[in-house]
Amino acid sequence: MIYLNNAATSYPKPPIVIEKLKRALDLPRLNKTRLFDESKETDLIEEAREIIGKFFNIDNNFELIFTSGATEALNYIINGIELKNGNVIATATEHNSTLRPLKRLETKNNLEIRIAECDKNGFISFENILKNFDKNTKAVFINQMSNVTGIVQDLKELYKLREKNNFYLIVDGSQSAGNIEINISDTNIDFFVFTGHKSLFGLEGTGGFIKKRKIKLEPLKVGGTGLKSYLLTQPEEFPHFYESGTQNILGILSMRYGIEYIKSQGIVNIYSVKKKYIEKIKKEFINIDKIKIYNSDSDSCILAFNIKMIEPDEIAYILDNSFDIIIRAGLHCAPLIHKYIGCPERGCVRVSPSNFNNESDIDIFINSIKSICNNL
Amino acid sequence: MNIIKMQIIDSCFKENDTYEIFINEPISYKFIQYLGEDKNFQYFPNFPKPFFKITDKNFIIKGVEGNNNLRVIFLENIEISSNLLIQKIMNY
Repeated sequence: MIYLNNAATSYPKPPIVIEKLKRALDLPRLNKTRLFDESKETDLIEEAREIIGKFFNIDNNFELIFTSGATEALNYIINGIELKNGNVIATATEHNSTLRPLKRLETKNNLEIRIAECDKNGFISFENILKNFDKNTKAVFINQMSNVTGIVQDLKELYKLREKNNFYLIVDGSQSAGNIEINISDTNIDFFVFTGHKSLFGLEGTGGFIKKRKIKLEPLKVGGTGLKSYLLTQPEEFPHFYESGTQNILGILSMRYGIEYIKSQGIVNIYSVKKKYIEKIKKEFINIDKIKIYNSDSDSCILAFNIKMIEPDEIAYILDNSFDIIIRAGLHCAPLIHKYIGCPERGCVRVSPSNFNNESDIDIFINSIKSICNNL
Repeated sequence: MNIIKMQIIDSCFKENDTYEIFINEPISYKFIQYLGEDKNFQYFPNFPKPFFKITDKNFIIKGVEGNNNLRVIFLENIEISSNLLIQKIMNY
């Protein structure tokens, strides 16, 4: 099987991540966050929080909260800040995990959702954000790296806008985290969302968000914290205020181990390998009349394309069942971007390799697409 | 031929009429021909596992020789179309 769907979830996980997780699973817990063979001072979750925070270069002005993924993180933020009686700006590249929670607030909170358009590669110009921005703009949501085209947005002008104006700046790093260097302390981001199971090489059902410490959010859920059990209200102490219930310890550890792996290989190296594979595919596809590439101008680790006269889901079906190659086809949970990049109604095929693929995988994929083009 | 399971396939789109039908034997070329008789039948032997597509006014069937499952999109009245197809499969 050749797996080329890493923008959905990364596979395989690095062997060292699996090995360390197996060990963590085998050993009993002496308390909720310490393994049997760790010292009494160890707190696995807080260690992971620190390591992951350092990876995103956060300083004391920020804090990191664990969630079950980017969807929960975005719901947390959207429902936890005051978004009413005004407008928010989201972009045409946003995922449904941003669009749907916002849509839900539209009527309830008298909130206008303005969509900043993108170009044919999925790039959002600052001008397109600015033309939607006014004194009633409560928040700007931007997907740092599109899950359809892989394009990375330039956020510098947005940071300057944030410096001069009072609104929330929320950046969705679901695709960018683990692909590009992210230095939160150098930005004016209010919230940065990440997921664990894509380029951070963690398990599904993991992720979190980073927020400015001074922003107080309403917790999405309240309950048991293991702290101040006599209180019937949620304890105010961080992180308990934001993280109720038993933590997904293995999931949180998986993100930590994934990040340690990324640091050992070098984030730039990993990203370069993926982009190299996409360039190779693009070079071959560009000469085939039947193939339409939607992000040909972007320097990306994802390729969005179609084969003329064949539905994208049929291409995916044939690749999976006849060739044993896994990609993804359709709208990719990002319904708005397709009209801007020139996709038909039924979306496109998306290929997203990993650094664990090799040249032979890519050659086989290229040849399978050529075979489909020649035969159908 | 028996049908083990019929399950709806989640889709990005409005229609909810795409199903995966699991059968109790691997799909043979003979079975493909049987399903395709009197219908628009396309067979692509040049893929590592040959792919086929059968189209008529009631449904589109896609599958791969050697697998145990068919992907079916029902086009007309789903109850009538599915009964027709189920009967056809079970009569093989």
